[in-house]
Amino acid sequence: MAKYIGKRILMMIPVLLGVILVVFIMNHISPGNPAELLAGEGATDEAVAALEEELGLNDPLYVQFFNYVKGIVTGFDLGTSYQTKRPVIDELMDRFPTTAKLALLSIIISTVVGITLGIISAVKQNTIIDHISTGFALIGVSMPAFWAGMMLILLFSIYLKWLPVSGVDTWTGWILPAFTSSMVGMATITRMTRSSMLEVLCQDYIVTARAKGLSEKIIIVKHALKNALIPIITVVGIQLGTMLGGAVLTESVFSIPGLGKYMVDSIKNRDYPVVQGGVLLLAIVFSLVNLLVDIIYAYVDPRIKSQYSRGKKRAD
Amino acid sequence: MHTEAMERLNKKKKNKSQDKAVGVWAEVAYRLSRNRAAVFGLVIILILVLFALFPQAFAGYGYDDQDYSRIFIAPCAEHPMGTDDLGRDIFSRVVYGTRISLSVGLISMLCSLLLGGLLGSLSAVNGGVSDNVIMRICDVFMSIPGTLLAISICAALGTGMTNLIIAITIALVPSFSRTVRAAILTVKDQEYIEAARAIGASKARLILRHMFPNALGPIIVRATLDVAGGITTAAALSFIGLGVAPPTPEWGCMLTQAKQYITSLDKWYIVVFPGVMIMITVFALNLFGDGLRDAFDPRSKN
Repeated sequence: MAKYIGKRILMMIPVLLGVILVVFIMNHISPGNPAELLAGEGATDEAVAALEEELGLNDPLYVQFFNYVKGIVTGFDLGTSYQTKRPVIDELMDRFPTTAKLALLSIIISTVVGITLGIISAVKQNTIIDHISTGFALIGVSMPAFWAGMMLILLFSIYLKWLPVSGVDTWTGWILPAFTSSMVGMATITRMTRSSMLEVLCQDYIVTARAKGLSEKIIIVKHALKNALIPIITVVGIQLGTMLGGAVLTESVFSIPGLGKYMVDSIKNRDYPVVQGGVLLLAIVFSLVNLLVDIIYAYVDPRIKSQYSRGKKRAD
Repeated sequence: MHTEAMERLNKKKKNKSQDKAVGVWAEVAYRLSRNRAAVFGLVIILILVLFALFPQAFAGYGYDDQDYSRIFIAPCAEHPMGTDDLGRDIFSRVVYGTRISLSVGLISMLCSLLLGGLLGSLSAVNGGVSDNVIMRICDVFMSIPGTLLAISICAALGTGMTNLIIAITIALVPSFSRTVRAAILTVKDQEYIEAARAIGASKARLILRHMFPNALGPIIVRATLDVAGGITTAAALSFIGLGVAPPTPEWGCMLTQAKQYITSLDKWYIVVFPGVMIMITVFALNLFGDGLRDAFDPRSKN
């Protein structure tokens, strides 16, 4: 088991280096001269030249990339914000907890609701309940989350006046944003759970379990769901990534002072190091989540466990 | 003698493969036509395509016809979706917007089909080192959530429709390559591929003539769903100020401008209709894509 986890962590390193390279390139082709933008408008040519030298902008590209990676690995150095002149990582970390809270809330909502609805529609296949929940799921994946958020504001905050329009100062403020950003995930997880459960439910061992006279509840939870879980876990992991990306939109709709809204504001202010730094930070978080998902796999899927417990990996 | 025999063989093979191809397609079309949801989706898509091709025929006004004496008119007979803050007819703008959204979705899908198809088939056919290299590069791009990757690229390249298409294409390519690779791997070791290779078919011919047509099902399904994904991403990017800039009637872009009026309930139509259009379009494409999936692989429908 430790071998599997160790291998998975090692495999992550080249991928993360690749992600850093992509972001480095995007940073490099972003318009404007960083030294000029950092020095401010009234800066003399000499000051700009000095800053260029200090930032290493005159070094060859591979040296710059090497230093960029070194900065990230040794001190999470993502550059300096053009706007506030503070390190990007400090600005991002100030706001990250809010985004993490939103993402966590949404993934919990969408997993619980999604799996429940998925099981119900699989068990009651082709009944009216199934049609309604698959219909909702299809509409859910079709709605752009930012617009759905606006519709929820219009209904619950403006028309019914039940919930605040924006901000998360009180707990009621979290309801609409969490629901908005969980919607797509909820729909996707419902669809995945339904099809995965349907596939499992017609397997021979389910028939056997029924023949043994086990109760329907035990069959569904212990026999079917456990075996249907692997594709569902994959989707949940992917959805968390989508939610981190979607946070950018949800936060700007609800004016939540998190990472996403900050990134959108920075796009408008042309503060590129912040935008790219935010992308990098969220991508790293996403990779870590996927690592976690793979480790959970190993516990859920006995096939992976057996591959490694025999001391050698099978050829497939 | 030799060439004659080969020619006859080729002819025979061609006929045979054509017969088979027609058979498969006819069957898929039949199954699709029996699926009411998919047909419904297709009808909506065709209407939207008409909107995109001939917006003048449907829109009563130009997309940028401003009339300051007629701002914020609620939906009525003359303005079915009302007018916006500059007195522009929202229905006309939404109709013109169809052209932009559909073309962004379609072009980025075609680009990613081309690129992803090339990378995926190279990866599947060659295997070994090139497979490993291509798939690891895909891993890198896939570990950045799609929306974020598109944001990063758009922020670096700047706004505009071309850059938007580039960004969406790059975000779509990695998973597309994987789909193509998986689809080709399932047909790669079939006997008819071996037979074609045995009579000396070139690699390009093997891929284009033998593997691609037989692996087409999942690729078409993926492509349909990717058009939907492309449209949503384009709207999202325009919404946060990347992508298409005003006064272009892109749906996401219209929503950005509408957002400031969200607190006034009487101006609901500004916020509602552009989003409804996005939803209808994506919904129709999803219905059709799901229908295609079931038609290509009846087993997948439980």
